Amino acid sequence: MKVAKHYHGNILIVAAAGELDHHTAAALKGCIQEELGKGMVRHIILDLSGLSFMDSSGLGVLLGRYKELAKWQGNMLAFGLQPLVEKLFLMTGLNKLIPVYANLDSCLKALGV
Amino acid sequence: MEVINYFTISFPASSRNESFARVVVAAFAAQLDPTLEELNEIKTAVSEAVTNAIIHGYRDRCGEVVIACSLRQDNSLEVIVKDTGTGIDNLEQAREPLYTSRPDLERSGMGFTVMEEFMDSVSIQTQPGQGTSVTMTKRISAGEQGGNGKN
Ligand SMILES: Nc1ncnc2c1ncn2[C@@H]1O[C@H](COP(=O)(O)OP(=O)(O)O)[C@@H](O)[C@H]1O
Ligand SMILES: [Mg+2]
Repeated sequence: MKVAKHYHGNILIVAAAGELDHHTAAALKGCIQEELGKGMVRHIILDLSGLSFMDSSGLGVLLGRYKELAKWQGNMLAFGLQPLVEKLFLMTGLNKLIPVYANLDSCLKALGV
Repeated sequence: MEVINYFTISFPASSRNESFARVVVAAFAAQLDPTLEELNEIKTAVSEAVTNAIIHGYRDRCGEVVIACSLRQDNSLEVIVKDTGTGIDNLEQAREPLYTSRPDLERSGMGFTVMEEFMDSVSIQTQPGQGTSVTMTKRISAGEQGGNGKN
């Protein structure tokens, strides 16, 4: 699991690549929590284009960060889902909490940027 | 149904083995000429069962996970994931979507739901204090379409 982050204003963009399971979930959690701790993050956009595997442990860690953001009405959005990851989002209804878009531009547009 | 091939492995209940376990089963299942989608579904289901054995069965302590896999004449795969950990007290509740006994670990409670969705059948034998064994089967369609390793 490789995690990269950058900002677009106060929007944190997190690119998670590789395999997101129970073993690697802590790395993604740690990375996002570190940024949330700085108190400047308004919304989060997940770039999952490099994510080749995810299971329900991945769902858990994403849901956890979603709940953190919801404390200040922040939104979490995602783009670039590979078919397996998209299937998991749809099957579990995660896409109702973390809406899925085609690319970064449409995520930014959805946030009114 | 006649078994045409099989293997058994055991490994320590360590999270580092989760990816190893799903890759091994996927490599074995490749003999059935599955589609990439089918392979991914098998990998995900195995990952769920193995993770459960490690986190819930052994509570992240020492233990051994066993995987027994077989291929059947009807182009189906059977995977058994077994632990000798805590066992499950209330199986009906455990299988419910969103139920988790460990919300403190940010579990989603969707593991069994994912296994059921991605495999054709999932049956669970469990005994509190003795352990849990999850048996999953999946029929691979690709072979029927005359794929036989050529695509
Ligand atoms: N191998 C196991 N040993 C003991 N308990 C288990 C095992 N597998 C599942 N469980 C129980 O079933 C519940 C539901 O499992 P699951 O659907 O995978 O959700 P999660 O792993 O997110 O908790 C777990 O929270 C746990 O209480
Ligand atoms: Mg689970």
